[in-house]
Amino acid sequence: MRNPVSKRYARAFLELGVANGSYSTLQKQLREFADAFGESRDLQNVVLNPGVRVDERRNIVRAIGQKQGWDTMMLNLTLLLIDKDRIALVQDIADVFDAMVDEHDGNVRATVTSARSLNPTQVGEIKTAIAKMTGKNVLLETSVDEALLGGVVTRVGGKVFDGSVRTQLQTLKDSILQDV
Amino acid sequence: MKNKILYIAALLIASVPMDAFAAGGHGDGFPWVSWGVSVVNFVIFLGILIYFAGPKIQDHFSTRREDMLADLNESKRLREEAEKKFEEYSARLEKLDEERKALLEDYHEQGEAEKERLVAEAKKQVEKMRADAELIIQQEMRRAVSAIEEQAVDLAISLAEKQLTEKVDDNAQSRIVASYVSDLNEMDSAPGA
Repeated sequence: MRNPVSKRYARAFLELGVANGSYSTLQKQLREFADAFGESRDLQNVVLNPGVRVDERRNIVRAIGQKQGWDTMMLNLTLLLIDKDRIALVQDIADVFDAMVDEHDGNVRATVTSARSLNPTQVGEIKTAIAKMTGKNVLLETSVDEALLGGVVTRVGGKVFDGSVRTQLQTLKDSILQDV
Repeated sequence: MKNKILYIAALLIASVPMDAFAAGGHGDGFPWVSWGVSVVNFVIFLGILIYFAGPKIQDHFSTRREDMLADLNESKRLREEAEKKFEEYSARLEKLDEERKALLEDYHEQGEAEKERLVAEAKKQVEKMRADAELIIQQEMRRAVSAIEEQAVDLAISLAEKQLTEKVDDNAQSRIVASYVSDLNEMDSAPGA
């Protein structure tokens, strides 16, 4: 469940990025910072610590932005989050922003998990089928899970298309137990 | 009354044996003088007695008669009262006996009713316990059968899983993926999916 505040920040940020034509750059920079924030306990300790003065926290974020060559809008967003004490929401804002950019670009993200590695032809076929189904450009990620025994599981947004042997076996088991 | 006393005195004199008179007149005969003095003394004594104590004795005997009559009447009255009381108590006793019998019958009936109620209640409880026990047995049997069935199915599924692990090779996977893609293509377009 997304925080409504995150949605408001993400929507405003996207509108500004689209207006400036820099939303792709902003998306990349916001994602990098959100990932770094999630991984670095030190960074969290500094920017979330009420014992550190706001202007010091702003200086630290500004220094990171300068070093990473952030767009001015990206820097302004992070400084605003510091001022409003909303910096803890940065990962959530990045996730919502990604989804909004995908929506704006007509993209849909899908993950395909298979029992064995899929060859490029199979990946392409699945991608085409999802694109046909959704009417959108598909950004596909693949992974392998041998526990599926065989077959494929595809997740598109909140939907799951489960064609795994594991699930078929479970379905078979449930139907047998229901009948007896 | 005085005549009566004189009559008694004459009787006393006359009752003296004749041989006593016969003994008098001789030196060793009956002492008439002494006897006569005694008789006179006795008569005097009797006269004094009658004179002084006569009315009282008469009163005594007449009062005594009345008293005895009163006593007799009182005794009769008391006897009648006692009989009346006796009859009353007898009636009450009889009534008490009837009441006792009625109470005993009532208690007996109540006891019988209570006994029947307890027996009916006990039968009902027994039936309920039996029904509960049967239900529990059926539930336990169903649970046990379900557990066995589940174990059997688990075993079958795990065997199938083992077989599939061995048999699903690249070719099988390719066939499964092809079928999956075919299914995806057959699905209706869902805008906003």
